[in-house]
Amino acid sequence: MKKLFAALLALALVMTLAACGGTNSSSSQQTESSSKTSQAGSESSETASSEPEPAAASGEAVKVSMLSTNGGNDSNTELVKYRIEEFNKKYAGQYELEVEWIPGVAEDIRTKLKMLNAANDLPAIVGEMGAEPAFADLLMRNNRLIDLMPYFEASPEWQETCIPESIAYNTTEDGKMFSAPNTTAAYAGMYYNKELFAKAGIEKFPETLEDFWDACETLKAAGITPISLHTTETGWCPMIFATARLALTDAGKEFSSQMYPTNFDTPEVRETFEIVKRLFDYSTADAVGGNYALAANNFASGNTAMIPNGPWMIPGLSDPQFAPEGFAAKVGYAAYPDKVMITTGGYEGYSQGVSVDVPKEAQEGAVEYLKFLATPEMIRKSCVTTGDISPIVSLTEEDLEQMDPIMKEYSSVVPTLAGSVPNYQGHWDPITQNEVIPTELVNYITEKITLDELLQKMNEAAEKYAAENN
Amino acid sequence: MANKKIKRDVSSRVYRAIGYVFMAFVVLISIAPLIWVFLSSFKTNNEILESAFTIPKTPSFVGYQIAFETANIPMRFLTSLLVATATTVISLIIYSMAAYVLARCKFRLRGAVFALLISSMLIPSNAMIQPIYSTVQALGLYDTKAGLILIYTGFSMSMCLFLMRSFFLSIPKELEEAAYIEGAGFYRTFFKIMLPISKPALASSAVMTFIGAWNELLYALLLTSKEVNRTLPLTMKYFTSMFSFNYTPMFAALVMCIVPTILVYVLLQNQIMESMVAGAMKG
Amino acid sequence: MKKSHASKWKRGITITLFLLPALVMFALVYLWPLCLSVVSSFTKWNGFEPMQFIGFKNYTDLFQDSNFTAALWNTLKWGLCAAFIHVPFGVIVALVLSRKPRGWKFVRSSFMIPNIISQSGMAILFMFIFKPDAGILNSILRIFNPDCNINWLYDPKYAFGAVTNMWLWFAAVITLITVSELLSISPELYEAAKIDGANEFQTDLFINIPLLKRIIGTGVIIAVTSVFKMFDVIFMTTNGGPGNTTINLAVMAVNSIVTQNKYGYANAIGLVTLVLGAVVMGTVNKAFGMSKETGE
Repeated sequence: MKKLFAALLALALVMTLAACGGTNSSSSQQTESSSKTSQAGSESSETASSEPEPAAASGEAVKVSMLSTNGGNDSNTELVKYRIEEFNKKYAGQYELEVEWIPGVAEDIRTKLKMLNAANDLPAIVGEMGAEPAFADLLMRNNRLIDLMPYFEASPEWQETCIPESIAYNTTEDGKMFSAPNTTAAYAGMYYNKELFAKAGIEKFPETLEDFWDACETLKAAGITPISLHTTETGWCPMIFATARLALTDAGKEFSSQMYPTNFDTPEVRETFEIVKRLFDYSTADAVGGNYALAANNFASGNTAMIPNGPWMIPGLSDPQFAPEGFAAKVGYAAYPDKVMITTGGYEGYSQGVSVDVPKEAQEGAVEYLKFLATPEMIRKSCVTTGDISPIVSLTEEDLEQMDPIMKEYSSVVPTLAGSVPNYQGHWDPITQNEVIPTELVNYITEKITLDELLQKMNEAAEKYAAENN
Repeated sequence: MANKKIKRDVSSRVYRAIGYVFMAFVVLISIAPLIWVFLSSFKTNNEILESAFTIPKTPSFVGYQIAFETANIPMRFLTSLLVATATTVISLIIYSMAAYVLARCKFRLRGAVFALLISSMLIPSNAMIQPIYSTVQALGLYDTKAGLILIYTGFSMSMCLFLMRSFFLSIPKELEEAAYIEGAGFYRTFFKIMLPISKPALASSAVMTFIGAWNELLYALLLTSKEVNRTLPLTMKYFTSMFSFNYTPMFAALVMCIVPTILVYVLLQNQIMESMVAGAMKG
Repeated sequence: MKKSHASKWKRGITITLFLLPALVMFALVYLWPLCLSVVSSFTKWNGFEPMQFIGFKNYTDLFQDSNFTAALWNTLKWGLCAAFIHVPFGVIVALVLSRKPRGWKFVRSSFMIPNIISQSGMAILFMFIFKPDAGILNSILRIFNPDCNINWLYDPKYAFGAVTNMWLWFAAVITLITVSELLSISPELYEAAKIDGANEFQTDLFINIPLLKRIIGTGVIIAVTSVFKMFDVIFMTTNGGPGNTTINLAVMAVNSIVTQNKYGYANAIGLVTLVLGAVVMGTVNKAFGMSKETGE
């Protein structure tokens, strides 16, 4: 009998635990629409969040919820932390950002957003929409985000710093705006190891594609693996190098601006993939099937002479965990041959919006934060730390001084470009990117399938996606 | 007679030698990963990726240091311990009861009830995110440890029921009959007689439930939002994002996740051993 | 008469009381997901907008999807590997350990370690084992053949085998439950066998294995169903590639949701897995006589 009591006791324990949990969010139970307060309300009982504690007096500050990733040696995380801190300082007593740090990748954030969305529990600020435009479209189509246009129109300062193309992109046909326009764009080019280039007798980064292949041959002949590549994670490194060349032709540019293209079998795209294949002749054995981490590490440990990637990797190069001491000094930054690069964020693509699931005051706080991000100070900060480029806000001498030497080199390369195209990740359909490329690119590179077969598989995937979503 | 004995001994000895080969293989495939992870947690990223075998040149605790800076490890440890222990205790209690009835009592729909409960083993977990969130939210358990305990207890259902029912079925009926004759009631028979001799099955279930609850990642992330409710294994995820990676602290976090579980396992195993001395009753 | 009626009632209440917590747990955690996946598998649903009923279209689409055929086939192959290699290996180790040879406790405890390391941790570990250049496996093979440079996970010839070996030998769960069972067998039986002149092999074959029938059946069900649901190790390494050589139903279902928001389709895949699992359970249950009580 004693054991039975123990059992009942344990059950009772569960019930009390449950009841404890219940009190936390009981307030939210009644007001379904504002259930986000559950998180805010429970703040009092349990402290020790990673966020700075609010001053006791700021009890009335409106909580503005958001999700953010918390990656490792990623300059974006540092930037987000800085922005949050500054915002909370500036609006102390009025608004307070309450961040749930998500360990992992943007994908994890979207999984959580999808879950919260199904129960009308979206946080005030809905971010990470850029990389999955299909999800953003669904949010907009179903009125899950507030219209930012009234706020945007009422604030000339906000309008001033936004990229005009991005304003146009984010304005719907009926004049609404669900995602804040971008204020900056980042360009992705090529990191190269000057020391290894010198060792192979190459004086400067090749300017044309022919020179580039020659340089690869020279490096290879000198016993240096020319370039770091990988095939998982949508084949980012080889793909940005190859797709950037679409900026050289009108047809390529037109293709690049298409949303969810369904025909990859064009002369320009064929050339793109021929370049991808040839690149792998000059890469490490683990590039086939490898991931970005392997590729980046091969570059950082001096095993390869080049890696295509954007400026966000720059702080990592001087991080002793990532690269040996003094490595950053050997690194140069260049545009791809023929002066092309790809852009991320920037002109086309979504950024962040404000959800309808939170109370009016929290929505206003969220809008304030979006506006805050568009202030010249914040834009300059993001330029300095992550290599964003603003066509509107110019950097001060002081900013330039703070800049990492590689970042400076990068900033000086961007204005000399002959052309750029938007990042394929924001334009191609998710099936092609996430299922076909990672699994079939390997087969294509190792000549298990032909280019025709690869393109056909991509077309099929794209058509499948189009059929599903129209 | 003697000849036969020798022959038997020889063949048994050969048989045992083969057994040692199996044991060696098992130790190799089991210990090697642990050693590798352990060594890696003291290497730099370069060393990890350069060569698989090397011993860290200058063993550093940087990985552990970073892991401790990134997350409140002691608190997460306690959270994980609380969640996994509570899950294990509750699972053992409720599923041993259910398994006993399903094994021993004849009633209508017994087969159907068992089939229904066991079907939980096969429900695709990716179809469960939204319904589970809605349930947890409706119970007011979002972002609480109780919410995680509830879900993990549910997840351990099929494994526990399966093991315990199978064990109860294999216990000779005479044992209970003797108890009833001595005047013990149903509850008493269950708690005083059946449960104590079921320790092997209880221990196996406990080990599996504990490990399952300890290692779960998806719902630990989705159903919590505050740092106090985050579990230890989630710490690993901080170091594996798409465009940044940091293997050293990731392996450090992994080591910190594994070690407590091994301790729990070894402790439980000894517990089983002791209880097993008088436990043999089958055949 | 009346008394037996009352006791019947009492018994009914007792049974209900004992079952209730588990049933409540089922209702809370599984009932809704189960209904949702069954219903939505007959709809077009993006997890967002209302479901559109489309009858059996998801299912007919499945059988025209070349990925599905590959995934189904791989899932079945892995299921067979689990039943005929994974489980027997675990049982053999259990039989060896049950004789308590020197160091058996150590072996038993260490066998559990790979199961304690989370699936994603194991996946990362195997990436380093199977890496072509500095990978552990190739480094060992180079002792015999210096040119060995196989890309185990990404060469279609080896990928399936590589993924299989990522879980095949880690049968500690099977060993754990089997050892528990073996230790509860009465030593008198072994004494009797010894007197009859049986050697250890014969003891295992004629005494232990028949007595282990039920637990082996349980092991097969646990192993096969968990292999059917195997996800992390594939997702984090090959993600089903190269081509679709290592795709399985679970990976396909998750990809349908994550990259395509096709919840109805994914749940149809889930239901196929569920039916497959049910068939396996039924078969094993029959073959191993698992629902029978001892002495019946």
